[in-house]
Amino acid sequence: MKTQSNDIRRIRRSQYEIFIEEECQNETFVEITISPSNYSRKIILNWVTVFIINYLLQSKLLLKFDVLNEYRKWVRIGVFVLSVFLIKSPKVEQITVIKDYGIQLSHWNGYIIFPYKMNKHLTQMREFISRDKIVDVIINEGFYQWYQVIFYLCIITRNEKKLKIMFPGHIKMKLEDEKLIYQLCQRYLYLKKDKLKHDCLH
Amino acid sequence: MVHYIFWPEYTYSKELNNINEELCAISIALESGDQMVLDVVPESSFRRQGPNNSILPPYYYIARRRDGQWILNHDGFYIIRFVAPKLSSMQFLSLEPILLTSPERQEELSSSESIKILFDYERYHVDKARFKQSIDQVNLYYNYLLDFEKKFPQLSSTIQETPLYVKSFNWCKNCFIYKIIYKILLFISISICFIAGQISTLLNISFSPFLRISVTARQIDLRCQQLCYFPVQFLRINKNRTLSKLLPRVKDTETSETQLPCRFYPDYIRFYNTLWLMTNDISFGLIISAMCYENQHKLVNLLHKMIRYCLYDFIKKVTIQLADNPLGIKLNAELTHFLSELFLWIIDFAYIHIIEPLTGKETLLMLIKLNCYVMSSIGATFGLSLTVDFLSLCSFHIFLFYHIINKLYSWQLNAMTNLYYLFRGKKKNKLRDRIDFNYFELDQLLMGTLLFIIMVYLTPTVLAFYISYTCLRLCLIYSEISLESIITLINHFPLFALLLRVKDPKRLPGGVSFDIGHDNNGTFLLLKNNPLKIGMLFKSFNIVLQQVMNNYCSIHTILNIIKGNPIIMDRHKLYYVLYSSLPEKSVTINEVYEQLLETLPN
Repeated sequence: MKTQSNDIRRIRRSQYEIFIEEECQNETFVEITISPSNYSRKIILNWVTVFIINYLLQSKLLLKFDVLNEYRKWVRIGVFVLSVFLIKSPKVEQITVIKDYGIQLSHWNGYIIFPYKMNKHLTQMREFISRDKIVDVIINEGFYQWYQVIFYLCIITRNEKKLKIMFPGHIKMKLEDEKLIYQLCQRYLYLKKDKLKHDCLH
Repeated sequence: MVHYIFWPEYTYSKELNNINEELCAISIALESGDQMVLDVVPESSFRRQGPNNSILPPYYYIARRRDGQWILNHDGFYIIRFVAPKLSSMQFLSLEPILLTSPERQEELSSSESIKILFDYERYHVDKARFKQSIDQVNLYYNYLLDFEKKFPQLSSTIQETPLYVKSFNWCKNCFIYKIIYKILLFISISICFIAGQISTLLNISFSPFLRISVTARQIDLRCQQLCYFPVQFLRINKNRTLSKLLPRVKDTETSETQLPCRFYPDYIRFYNTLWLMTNDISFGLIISAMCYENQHKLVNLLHKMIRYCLYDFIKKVTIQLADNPLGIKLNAELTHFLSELFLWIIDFAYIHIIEPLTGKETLLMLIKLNCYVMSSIGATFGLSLTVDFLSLCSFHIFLFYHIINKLYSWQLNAMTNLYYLFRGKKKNKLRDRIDFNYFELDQLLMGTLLFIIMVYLTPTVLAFYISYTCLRLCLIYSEISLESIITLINHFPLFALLLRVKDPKRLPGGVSFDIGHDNNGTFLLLKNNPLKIGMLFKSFNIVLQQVMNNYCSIHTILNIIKGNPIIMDRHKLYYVLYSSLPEKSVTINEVYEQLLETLPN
């Protein structure tokens, strides 16, 4: 599907969904968004949880503490507000690779009462790593929860002790998807004359 | 090969008088940066240029607008739009987060050798920092626009005039009275700076224990260093400012790089933050001293009773109880008797010579009055630090108890471990730092075993005393730490930076961010400032808090207590991190004097 020289692709997996938007004309940037699968279903589940919690808490509280019976309305409103703000929307992660300039890592979640765009506007956290600070983008292998071996995408940053993990919420991504993202990063991060030095995964 | 064009947002959709007129975009590109659009001009005035005064590099004519759509003159360019940061309001973009601590105090990350080899590998070598150059260009957008309008006045659409307040300020500066006042202020500040510098060097002599022991001395030292640093900061802020406002801007690739005005913004923030905190300090002092002065009699009675109870009666009760089968546990009678006699004697000695004279009602009244005077004149922090010092002086006997019993316990523990090794036939080898098999004679074994048994049976006694006095000492340490943390908050709270973050986040950049936008021409990238995270402002507080928690409040502490290592209160080492807004070495007074003399208006 092409919209105004931008190429949009969508990959569906059981645990997550990947959206890839590429700028094809000059190959300037690529934006890769990973969101949990069945996003709207999860939001509905969260609302159901909120209602169950509200029903239980309100009835229990009002039964146990007779003092609160006078402030019944306020107790109900208070419990509702608290439960709505405790349960958050699922986290969505995104990276934007800009040619020759760097990579931007971003993520947002939000609260279930607000719509998706408002959540993104309110809670988006961005971090831009410029090209001279990036040593390389790699797929690293490591132990996860004592016994599992996983492959994860990360960025080696100059003069920092820790690796920057690119999709920390979806660390158990399928290896083929990670390879695809790796190839996209290599293609879109480096200029053509540097490309020969860096591209080693074919 | 893709090239980027940086396009200020307001010129992209600029509408001039005649809507149907074609517009041309003029851009500037310095050596290693990308193109940046300066202004859009109507085509008619652009064509009127003629061959004599045509656009030469570093200026380029890169796009024209037809029917509301911008058409680029060359291929392979991509537009990045940005909102130009206003230099007059001290806004700027930066790839690195703004450094609010002194740059000399940044720690070098010690990485391992293999990581360094990886970083320096030739495949990962990056020669040019193109983006950084472009960001510097974007920061100086308004300056470049001014130069362009001076060079090509017929193309500029706005007329720049020096505002009235600048003109009147310049006239005032030539006044005679202003010069005299300026000279007087200069000499006063130099003398204050000199005295403060001498006091600070005196306190910082390496063999003097003042800074480690007394909180008041440290507070005086901090104030003196801040006062010494004021002229340096003032020079850095104003010298740059006067240069960029009055003198014409020199547009030259080399000098414009070194004269980036954003270099002195952190100094500006630190300077005004310190000033504001000092004023806050004095106002807190006034409030607290007024409250204390009003209720001084009640306060004296309360303090008298409390101090006498906590530091004398309670401890005496505890010591006597320990001698007398505490909690029903039967302790060794002679040793308990000996230890409790020793401690009771020390308590009584301390009471007669320290506590009673210091906490008599009249002395307390006098001390509270003195404290009030100090707080209202110099600041609340000095009053609080005097309180902390008074507290540590009065509780000197607890300090003694703790160290005596700690030494006793650690000796006992050490002796027991070694005798246990002897019992098993092993010995600790100091040279190799390990336990080795050793052959002991029979009499050595017998003697060692006997001593071991005696020590084991004496352990509960010593342990009872050790635990109770460690708890007392810890309570005292926690109360001192809480008072000192209030002092720290008053001294170093990043108030200015916090309010700036709320009021104008563009002045505190913590990086850049890109957004993808869609419009008629296709997609474009939007370059924005990523404001500093609030947690970063409190970074040094977090470090100090972690150190304090680690030293006094964690499992590490409990392990140390069990092993018998003493808990030492090293105030200066803990507090040293918070000196990070001051430079490490103070500037000599002569240099400051010469530089300040240069700024005298003539």
